[in-house]
Amino acid sequence: MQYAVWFVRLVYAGWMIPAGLNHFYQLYPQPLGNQPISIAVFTALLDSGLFTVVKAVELVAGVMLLVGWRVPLALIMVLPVSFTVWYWDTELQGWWTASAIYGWAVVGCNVALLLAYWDNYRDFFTRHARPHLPWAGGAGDEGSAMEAQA
Amino acid sequence: MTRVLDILRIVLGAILVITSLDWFMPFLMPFMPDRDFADPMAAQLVGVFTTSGLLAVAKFILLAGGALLVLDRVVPLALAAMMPVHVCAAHIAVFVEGDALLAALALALLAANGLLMLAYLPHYKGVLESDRHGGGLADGESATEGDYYNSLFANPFSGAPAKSYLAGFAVWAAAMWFFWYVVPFTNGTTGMVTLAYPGVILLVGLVNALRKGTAD
Repeated sequence: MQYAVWFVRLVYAGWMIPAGLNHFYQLYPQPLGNQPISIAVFTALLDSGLFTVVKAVELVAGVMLLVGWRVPLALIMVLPVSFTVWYWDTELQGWWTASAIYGWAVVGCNVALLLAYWDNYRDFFTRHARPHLPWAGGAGDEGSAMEAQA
Repeated sequence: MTRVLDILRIVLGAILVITSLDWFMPFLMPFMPDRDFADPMAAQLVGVFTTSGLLAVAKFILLAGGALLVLDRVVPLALAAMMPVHVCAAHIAVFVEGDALLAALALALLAANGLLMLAYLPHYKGVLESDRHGGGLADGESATEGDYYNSLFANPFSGAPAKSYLAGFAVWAAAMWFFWYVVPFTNGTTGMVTLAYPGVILLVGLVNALRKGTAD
């Protein structure tokens, strides 16, 4: 099982790092889309500066995956980007296009890796979590994440 | 302090539910003011997001997340899901629209989301940990050297046995093959260049393992 996870992780990192880097240092022509709405979304993202944020997240998360640093954080951090890529490639570019294959591949790798690291995300699903600021002190009566979950 | 945080959670949730519901069903709350963007770039961006359906996705995340905050259900998940939406909203309000009031509101929502995430910090421990495994073990991995990713692909001095490197090289070669034969255009080449890094780490690790085996 771990070999499949390693394969997906290497492929995903090998995809995300050049895709993120490409915005800051051009390696290949950036796909702009071939539908009016996908081109409009891409242009608006680019002009507003949001595309730089997206590509920075892609690059940083890809590097984190490749070098093995805070991998569960990288996977959750890049999930909104993967979703947006999938949405752009499928809904905006067309469900039965070559773009859609890329979209499914990107979100598929991200979700598969999230599932592989599922244990790290269990505490997200605590039904009745109790808030406590780290600097407020008196944590003794708050209980742990797992206690709150019980 | 917990009571203050509970109030903040409920207020934030209520604001998000009301504003999102107003976006989906404006006839429900005709008294709510409409927002027109003054900056052409901001207007174009929001217009395109509306037409493409991306704004509906964002609003749905805020609606569902806000409801979960009010109901006090899976709050850490709701906060994590809403954070990217608030970051994008703050970016548009501050850097694109540049309106002081809108920017203050967007930053206040972002700050409230961030503060509540801090208050639920123990629930994010699983994603914030940093250890020799890279923050956690994936399905099928074990803490034994050579049986988890970092011990082969990230740390050439992990002490993994030489036979583990054979499996590592097989996986690495499969990924290289994938970029060579399956991924078209420059994406294949750039993917292979990127994977040169773990390839070098594997090679150095294997040499270390063989030297250690010879020394033993």
